[in-house]
Amino acid sequence: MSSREDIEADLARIALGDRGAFERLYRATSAKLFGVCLRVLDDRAEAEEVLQEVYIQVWAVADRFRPGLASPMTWLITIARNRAVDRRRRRRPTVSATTADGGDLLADFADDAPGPERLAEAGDDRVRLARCLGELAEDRAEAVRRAYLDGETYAELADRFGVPLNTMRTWLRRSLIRLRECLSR
Amino acid sequence: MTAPGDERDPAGGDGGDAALAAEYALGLLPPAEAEVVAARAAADPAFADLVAFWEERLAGLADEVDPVPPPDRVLAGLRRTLFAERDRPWWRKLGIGQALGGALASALLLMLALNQGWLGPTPLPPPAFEAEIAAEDRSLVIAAAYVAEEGALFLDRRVGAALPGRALELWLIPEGAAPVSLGVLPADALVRVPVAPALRPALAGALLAVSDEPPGGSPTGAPTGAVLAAGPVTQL
Repeated sequence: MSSREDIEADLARIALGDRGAFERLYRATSAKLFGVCLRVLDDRAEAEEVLQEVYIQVWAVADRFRPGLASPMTWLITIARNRAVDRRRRRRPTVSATTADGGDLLADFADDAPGPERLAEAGDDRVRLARCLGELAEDRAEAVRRAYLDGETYAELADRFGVPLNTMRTWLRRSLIRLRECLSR
Repeated sequence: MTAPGDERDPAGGDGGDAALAAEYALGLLPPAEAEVVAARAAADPAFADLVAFWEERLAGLADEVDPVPPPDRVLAGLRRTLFAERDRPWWRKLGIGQALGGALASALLLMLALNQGWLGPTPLPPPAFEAEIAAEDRSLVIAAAYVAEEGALFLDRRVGAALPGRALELWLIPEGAAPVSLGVLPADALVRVPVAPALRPALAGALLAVSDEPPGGSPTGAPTGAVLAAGPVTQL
């Protein structure tokens, strides 16, 4: 895996139209972004299409990346996750509601909790995020994870946790506020 | 510690802006509400900071996702889409306001022409006009160049596509006049669109736009669907 500096340097070169830098960035980051797309979409063909869109976007807007504001991986993950969620939202609701569980692909991600090794190699922010999620009740933290990593909607979350939609929204908003308080401490 | 944006929260309320920014970052808002919030994020830096805060922090959750190497065909597809010899680097230069030197441009255009099969007896000259037809959120980006000697626009669709079961229609909107259709765009990323002789003088100062239309294009002769992308034509 390339360092943050390597990825930042490649993004700067990509903004100037450097293909070599683009391919290097792709090799260094595509497995992570593909994992993120797969997790949201749970469909290989769709995830491949979205991944391709993600890198086309990266090629087109690399000059918009501002080093120092966000880490380059965060920037890339946000693009991939948001594109995948957009794709998921465009499906017919019946489809997205039934893919939330099961499926072979999901088995690959069954072990969601970061192990001690992962925590050790993650930055301070990541450790803090894990700790702050840990301060939430287990089902509330799970709802935040589902919303981000699986791109679930309020309707899907309400279904999953067996509460009315408005209750789900209140619940999640409160959890996010608590999370923010903890992250800002 | 007070984080940015907290002062906006109604006392004892439900988290106000911070929660709204989180919902937006998570993509939980209904489309209409998301649009309003997107406009707000574009106009209100403090709110934009809140959205950025969430995007950054939540991206940390991706640590839980194992990397999965994508199949080779994804990179192969990207090379085809982005780097096909015929549309680089000449096309890459479009829309960023840079005209190439004549000799280089001609050579590349010749290659382009050979590849596309519309070659006349002499190399193509550099374009006279260019435009970037882009959506505000850049979900659709088309570079366009007009080669006077060919009487044609060359388009390179770089980002985005027609919605399923819909078509993209290209419009020329001369200054102070109604849109004139230049036709429905085929699925290819790179296309040549002839411009009728009567329309050519209207290119200077015009706008190029792309609208969402039923298959086969607008039945009325005027755009019927949303205008997805637009951009001014600039002289080179």
